[in-house]
Amino acid sequence: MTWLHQQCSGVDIWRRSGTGARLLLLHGLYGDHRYFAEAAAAEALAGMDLLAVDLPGFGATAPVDEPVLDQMARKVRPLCAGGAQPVFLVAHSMASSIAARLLDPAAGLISLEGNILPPHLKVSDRLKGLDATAFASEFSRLQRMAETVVKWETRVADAERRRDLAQSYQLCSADTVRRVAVAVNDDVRSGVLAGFLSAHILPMLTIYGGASEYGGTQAEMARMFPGMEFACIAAAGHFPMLDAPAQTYDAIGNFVRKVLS
Amino acid sequence: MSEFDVRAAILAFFDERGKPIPDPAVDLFDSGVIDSMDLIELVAHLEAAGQLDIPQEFMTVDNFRSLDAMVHLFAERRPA
Repeated sequence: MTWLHQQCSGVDIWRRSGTGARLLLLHGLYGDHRYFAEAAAAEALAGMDLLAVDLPGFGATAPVDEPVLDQMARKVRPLCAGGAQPVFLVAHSMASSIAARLLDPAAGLISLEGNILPPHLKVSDRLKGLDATAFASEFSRLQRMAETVVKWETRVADAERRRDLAQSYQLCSADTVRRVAVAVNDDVRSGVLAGFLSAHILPMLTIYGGASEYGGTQAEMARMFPGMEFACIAAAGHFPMLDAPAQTYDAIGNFVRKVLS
Repeated sequence: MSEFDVRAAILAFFDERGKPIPDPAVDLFDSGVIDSMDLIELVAHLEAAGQLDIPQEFMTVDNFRSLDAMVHLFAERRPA
């Protein structure tokens, strides 16, 4: 089953249509829709309406102005209008800050190694410490090293797939990445993100990699968000959907079916 | 920068970040001693200090897999 490219209100999406629940797949920093490519073949997601989004400023979707997180969520919101279908948000890493602004129409939230607590902010802490010139220089270097970064940070064995993933680094700009990273960092440290999550009573699942540092923050997450469920993907790091797609999408599919039962 | 200087600079770089390299031949990729952001910072640091430029085709995991590999990469690219 292949993805069909569409545009909705200026947002580029890749869709695997279905009559079941809609899953809005939101990528992390430097990423785009291709980080969720394996979702289309996942048995656990059979029949679901999958929308893999290029968030504004990433992939093929044009960037937005300030306030960047609010504006990114505003552009994506029309995708949540699934009609009779319940909508679930699947947010990887920095996309937690976008998803947190879309909870009102959602039936549930799946946080994939989401940036929700300060210990999750290692990357954006570092980016925030660089001025615009220093970051532009580093970003250029990162783009040159993108394939190495993908190989270093994921467990994707296929070289062609890694080259494909590395393309997303060439499709975003230093300006967008820096603005989003700083905004996400502020969103978490100020408590705004936590406020959004606490204000909405809806089913939430956090998926984290067994080889990731995020597992150590479970207890704090459980304390802050009573009722949140957790799933550990043992064979994964920060990119469970790439490192162990079958197990990751099983966890997501099972959660969605449980919520809707 | 001499090869000795490059080696010393790399070791100092990781020591300062609390990530000492245990052995010049240890596989940094498999062991997870450093992450990709460390690599990018290191490249920036050495390119600036050594006044050199590493072309994209040399930015491979194998060239950063160990201290020995990195010393070889930067020593080969340093200005004559």
